Amino acid sequence: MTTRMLCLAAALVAVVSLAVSRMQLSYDLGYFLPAPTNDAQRVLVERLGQGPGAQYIFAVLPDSTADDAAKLAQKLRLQPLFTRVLPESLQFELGAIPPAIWRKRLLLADLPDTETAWTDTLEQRLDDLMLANDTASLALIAADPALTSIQTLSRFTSGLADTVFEVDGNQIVVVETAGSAFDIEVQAAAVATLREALQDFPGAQLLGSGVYGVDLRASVQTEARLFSILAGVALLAFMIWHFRSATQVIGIALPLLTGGGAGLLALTLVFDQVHGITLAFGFTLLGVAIDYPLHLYIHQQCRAANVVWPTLRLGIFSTLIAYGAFMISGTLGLQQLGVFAFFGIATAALSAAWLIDSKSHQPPQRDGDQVAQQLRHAPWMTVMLVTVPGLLWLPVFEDDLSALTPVDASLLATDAHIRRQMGIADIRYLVAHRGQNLEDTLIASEIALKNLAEAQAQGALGSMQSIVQILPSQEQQQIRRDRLRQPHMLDGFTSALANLPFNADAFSAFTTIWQQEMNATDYLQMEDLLAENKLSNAVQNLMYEVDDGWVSLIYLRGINDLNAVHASLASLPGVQLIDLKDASTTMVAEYRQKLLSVLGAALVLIALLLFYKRNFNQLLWLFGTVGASLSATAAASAWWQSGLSLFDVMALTLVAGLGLDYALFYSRDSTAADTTPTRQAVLICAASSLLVFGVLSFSSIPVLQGIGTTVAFGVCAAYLLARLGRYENSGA
Amino acid sequence: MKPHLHRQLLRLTATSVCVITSFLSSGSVLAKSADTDAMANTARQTLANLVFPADLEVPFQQRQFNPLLKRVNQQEGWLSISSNNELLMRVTAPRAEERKLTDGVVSIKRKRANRRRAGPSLVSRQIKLDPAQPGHLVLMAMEALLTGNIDTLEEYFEPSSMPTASGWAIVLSPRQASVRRQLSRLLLFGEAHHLTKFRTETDGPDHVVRAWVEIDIGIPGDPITAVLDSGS
Repeated sequence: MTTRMLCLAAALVAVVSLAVSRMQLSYDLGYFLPAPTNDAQRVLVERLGQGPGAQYIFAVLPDSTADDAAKLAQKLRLQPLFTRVLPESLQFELGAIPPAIWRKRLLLADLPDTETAWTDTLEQRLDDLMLANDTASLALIAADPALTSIQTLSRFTSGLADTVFEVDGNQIVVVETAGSAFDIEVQAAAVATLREALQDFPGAQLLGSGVYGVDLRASVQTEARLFSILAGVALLAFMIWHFRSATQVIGIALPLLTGGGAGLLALTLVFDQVHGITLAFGFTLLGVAIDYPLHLYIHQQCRAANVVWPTLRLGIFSTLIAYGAFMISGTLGLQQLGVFAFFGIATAALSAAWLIDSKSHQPPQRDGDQVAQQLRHAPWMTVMLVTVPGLLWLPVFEDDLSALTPVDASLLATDAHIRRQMGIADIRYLVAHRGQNLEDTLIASEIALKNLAEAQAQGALGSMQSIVQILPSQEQQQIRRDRLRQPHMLDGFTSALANLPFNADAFSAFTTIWQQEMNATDYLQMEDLLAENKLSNAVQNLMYEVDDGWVSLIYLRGINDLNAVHASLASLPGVQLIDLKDASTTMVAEYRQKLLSVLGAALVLIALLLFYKRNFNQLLWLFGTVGASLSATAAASAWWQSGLSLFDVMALTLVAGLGLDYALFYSRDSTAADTTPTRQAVLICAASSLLVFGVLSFSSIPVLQGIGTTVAFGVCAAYLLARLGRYENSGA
Repeated sequence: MKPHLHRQLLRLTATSVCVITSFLSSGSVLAKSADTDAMANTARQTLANLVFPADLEVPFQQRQFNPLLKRVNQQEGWLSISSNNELLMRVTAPRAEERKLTDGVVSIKRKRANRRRAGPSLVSRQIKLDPAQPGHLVLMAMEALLTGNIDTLEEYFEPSSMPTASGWAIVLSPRQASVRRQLSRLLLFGEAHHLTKFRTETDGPDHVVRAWVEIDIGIPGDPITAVLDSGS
């Protein structure tokens, strides 16, 4: 090991230590989301991981009774990690009703308005008392004979008011977690707590987005570690086999590692937090840097390292331009990726240049030494002709992110079945209204809810959940207060009471609050609900403040006729039926377009760079070969994986970088002395990349598998096209 | 004797028994004594011997009184236990209603006539009652008694027998203090292997019974039951 290697290793340790000490990781997916371009996408971004039921975790308990489930729910209710645990009992207790709701109960629902309606209501209370004749129930009924408080809360209980907590003979306990479904740390703590609590329930199963996220993180970490070790060992063995020198193998590894360290340090200096995905993809993109020491060492063996530098430098600059383009991509995640890859590549290249002696000068070229090079255009043209039409006309891209989930399909089917049976709100469709102020937004939601109720009556959907069911607009609250002031309202109640076996003063608590409300001037406010621990989470899920106003969401359950639901809202300005899946798909598509545009601009810059000292024929061959490599890779990968995901597009960036390197070396003018080491170097570079990404393609995680497959295809295509496109006629 | 006279006589007897047992249960009979264990064992033996055939419907009459009411409120209907231990109470008068208790979940269905403001002809709702709450305990106790699940009963209540003029009488005291504040006791009356009356009592602060519900249950196969059947 040389002194320079020791110095570089020391620098590496120092840089990595500093970077790690400064690094704060984030897993906020918002880092990688582009700016939304329409209201549907805005809702998607604003409510990421907080949709209807997204924060639920379902514990499926086979061979258990409802009592067992109730006891488990009671135990879990003590955990601060859970904002709600179901089944929860219908508590006929004043103490169980949030004070804000209890105080303003007469403004939250319509009271019976005729003697007949009151008779019906009070008869129901007589029947209820047959079941619940205890002190607490009597107090509740005496103060709220129409049960407006209970009914208001029931309508609002996250779509689980009338739910059956038994599906296919299994008891179900549902917990609502405190954080969003993508807050992986909160979800991990929740899942660990649940799994510990379920130890007494053999065969119990946990379902829900949070559970899948936590399990996915564990499996990704395990697989990433496993495949990193496998790929590293395979690469090391390959290098040792080829170079048969520990010093050279260390010399190849050090620039790459130093590049990684420098990339990390740059990230921590520029950004407060670093996203996990940045690191994963950053190291993937950095893979191209292994080519630099490889070229230098192989050419050094033939005393031609100095000759290879100009070409290598072009490749490095091209890669820096391509990766640097990420920095102006507009999303924080890609900017981070750009910073990491840019500084990583630059440092790796500088480290390789400093570490590996390239001063072993090749004798000056003489005309007679020059190899008569021929560049064949047929290979790349043929590949282009075969693949480009397919790519243009067939659906190549897979923008549905759900296609990338590694969660077992049967588990997802069980999840969907349970949600359907329990009547959880539809996670795909919701109704949104964006208003300038709270009151206008509430009024618009009331109108939307009224229209939806008509669609519901026609069987188009099962039920709705909206903020206005618990927080009517002040206009609506005032209408109800005015109604309380109408004499016939109270007359209807007293007349009905007189004909039933209730005492005349049985409901004095109710008539007292009636009188108080008639004279009051205040309303139930948003702040009152947010101050209630039991309600704040659900309230925020249904209504939230944004920079330019308020957004109200209506969750839908049991959609039978989407067109009818859509039609019921058509006449309402600003009220929109949102398809979250469609929003995410279009967002991914727009994101991909933006990414491709940025890379296209980078390509123009690279072309300008390469135009220097190259003739048109060389440039055409160069771009033709790289373009054909990309189109062949895209076609093969899309066929193999049934579509290219966003992550595959990222992998294609690496393929472009690798392909450009191979093409640059094969298209340059060379002498007889460096032709052989060049061919050998490109082959070793391609083989090492193929080895690493080939191993990754065996991962069971679709994202990792996709990247591995795409790059492996790409390396093969790029190498073969560059190799077949060039032949030397040394005898010429 | 005509059926309606028979029913009146039965109600009169039942009311008398209630008055007597209320007095007894709120007084010295419930006091702890040296005979407590013996009374508890007798009660357990009686409960263990209870029989109620599955899938057989018998009539029931439910009466209730509490401070909100000016007179006793009454319901009539049919009661059965299915072979899979579901307690079904089919109320026929004054308003049709079905109550079903399965694994702690109470399902209530009411006819449209009884839910004028509701849409469908038969409105159903499900109430999940907390096991620690009196409402659940009462129904659970009734289900346990009729299905012979005495262990569950004893988990929540302490049984004790008490003297009665005819048949047997048992008082079940809730074990949890929080429940006792809402529901003071359950009183059971029966003949031989059959439960004939089920009564809940809630005392006021003055230890006087403030609210009560009682259910008369027909004896399967009893000729009186047959008469009651035709009457209802």
